[in-house]
Amino acid sequence: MALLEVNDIEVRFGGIVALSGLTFDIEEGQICGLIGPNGAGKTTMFNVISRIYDPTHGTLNFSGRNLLKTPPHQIAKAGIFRTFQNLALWPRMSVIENVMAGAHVRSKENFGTAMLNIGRKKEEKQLATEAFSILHDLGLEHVAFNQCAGLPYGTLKRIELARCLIGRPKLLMLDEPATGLTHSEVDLLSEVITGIRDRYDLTILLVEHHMGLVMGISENVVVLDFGRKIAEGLPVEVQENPAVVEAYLGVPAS
Amino acid sequence: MATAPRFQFTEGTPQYRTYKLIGYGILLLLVLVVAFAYNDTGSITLFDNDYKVSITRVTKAISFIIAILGLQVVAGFTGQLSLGQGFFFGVGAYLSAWLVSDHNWPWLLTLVVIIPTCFIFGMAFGIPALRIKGLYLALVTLGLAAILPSLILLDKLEPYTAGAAGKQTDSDLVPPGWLPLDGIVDALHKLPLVGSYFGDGDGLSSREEQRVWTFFIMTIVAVVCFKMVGNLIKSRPGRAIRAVRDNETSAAVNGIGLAYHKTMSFGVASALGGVGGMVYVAELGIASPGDFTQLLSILFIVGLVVGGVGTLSGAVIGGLVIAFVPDWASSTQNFPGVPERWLQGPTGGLILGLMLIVLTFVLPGGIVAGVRRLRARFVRVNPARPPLLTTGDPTTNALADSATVDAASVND
Ligand SMILES: Nc1ncnc2c1ncn2[C@@H]1O[C@H](COP(=O)(O)OP(=O)(O)OP(=O)(O)O)[C@@H](O)[C@H]1O
Ligand SMILES: [Mg+2]
Repeated sequence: MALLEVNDIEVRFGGIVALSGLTFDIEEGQICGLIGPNGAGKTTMFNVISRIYDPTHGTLNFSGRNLLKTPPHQIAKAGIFRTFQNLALWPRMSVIENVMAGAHVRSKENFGTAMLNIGRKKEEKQLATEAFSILHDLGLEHVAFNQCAGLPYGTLKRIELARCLIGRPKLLMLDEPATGLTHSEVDLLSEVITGIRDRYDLTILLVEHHMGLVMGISENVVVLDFGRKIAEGLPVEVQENPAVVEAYLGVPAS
Repeated sequence: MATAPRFQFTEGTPQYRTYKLIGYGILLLLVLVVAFAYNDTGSITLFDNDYKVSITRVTKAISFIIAILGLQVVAGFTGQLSLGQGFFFGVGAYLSAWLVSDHNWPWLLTLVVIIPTCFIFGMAFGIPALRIKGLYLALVTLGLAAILPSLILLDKLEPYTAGAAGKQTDSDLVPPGWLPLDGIVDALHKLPLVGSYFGDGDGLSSREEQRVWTFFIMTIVAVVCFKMVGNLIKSRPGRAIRAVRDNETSAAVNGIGLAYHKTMSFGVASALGGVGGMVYVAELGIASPGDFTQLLSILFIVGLVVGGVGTLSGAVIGGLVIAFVPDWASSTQNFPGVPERWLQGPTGGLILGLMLIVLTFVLPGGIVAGVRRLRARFVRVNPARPPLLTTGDPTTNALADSATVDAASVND
């Protein structure tokens, strides 16, 4: 059984059909690329899995569980974490607090115990240690106590990644992680992604316009165009698919 | 970024502890000075104006401070603009007045009724916040605050609230016999140089002793409230509410339940409002409907903004400002360079309004932001570096290989 089964998903915004009849599976441990031209519906698919948008049609199963029956804030508990295309950090919290808050579903303090200081210090120490270790591993140790506001874009993207990792995701969804990075940084990013996949036992769904990155590390690639799947397969297969070439270049492949 | 601050401390070191101890010591000293220097209705004279600094007004300020602390939780940290804090302040005030005068409860015991009641009402109050935001939420909550005086005056409730006349209470906050408040003030009076500021040398009347004692008790209540909110902010639920404030979408995606955290935060804030109300009546001795209009809620918001939104110390400054500034403004009858007739009439609201406008442009973070900026020139506190996970832990070495190369790339 696949980890995530997307079946016949359709999303409409008024008259716009953002996704239609979209079906694909992600196997456990896989890096799955989701590509397509601007406006193809990639982020919309992420938002469906995060339960930000309700699909008008279709089903969604995650390790056998019906995600569409799961409320949005239970998605993280189920093991799905994501980054955002346009960053969605909490700017008035420090970097390390952003990461510590990513462990929300794994930590226990509630309003009562926290205010009465029952077990609070212990949990704070544990979370700070874990968050700092992850920041250290991502080379972000030196900004741990900065506010997020004012840090470079690439750094912020990485902080978002750290915030996901501390939640110990089963499925990690990355929305354009390479935006704003230089060429050499993109190469490093491939290593980071494959590295975390292996060490954290992750399954990764990757949306990215940088073809070198997606094709280099994905085991399966799903191609969208105008909300429909136009191709799926190994990177080499997809790259040679005439429909894909046409979607990207806007002319039929000769 | 001129020169580095003169004093630098790292959290957790003995030097840092000394620095904090000195800070707390100064605060304690301030409390003692207020308690013993201004127990008679003392005043400061400036340009021929008498500015009253009586201890009763400081106790009143404490009640405002606790209410604004509650607003910090819901508005400052959760980002839900509530103009209803005065409602809970009033509910707390009337509940405690009723329990104390009709049922002979001790003041502090009334908190076991006030806190749960206001908490539950507050959670219900927060339900609109799940649907509406910003200005609309402010209007809805303001509406609720506006109905409190008419609720108090309802015929059905009159036996409990004493209607328009106000609910009288007798203070039972009598200092214990073993505490020589009298002796302390006499000893202070004999001090060289500053002695004359401490009373008139003939000890304290029992009325004055009660005032000092009420002030002490309520200061302790406030300190406990601050400690609890401080704990909350630096914990899992505290980060969760701040995440909700900063970005609801990513909060939800990271597993933070928006409805739960918003309603809980309204509950905590309202409970604090109720506690503030108790302090208010315990000091004043009477709860009257005219004190708990929507104007009070707005005054709390003014205190919140002037002090500094989203900071604990902002609540202290905000409470002091709204307790003292309007009164001082109306006590100002002469001011160099200002025509006398400009100083007549209700100048209090005007001054508060001006403070608000000026601060929004000059110091958007409130007075606290200014103080912090100033302090940063002299003192910097560096956070303690947390330890790294030791090997064997699942997250250890997660990216050890790529991290070394990565570290280089983030620096640019
Ligand atoms: N909330 C929304 N309301 C209305 N239309 C929307 C909404 N979200 C997305 N859309 C539309 O759905 C379509 C798919 O958008 P989506 O953001 O998923 O594209 P994408 O593949 O992520 O593109 P990009 O590569 O530019 O990020 C677009 O036409 C977009 O305008
Ligand atoms: Mg997108």
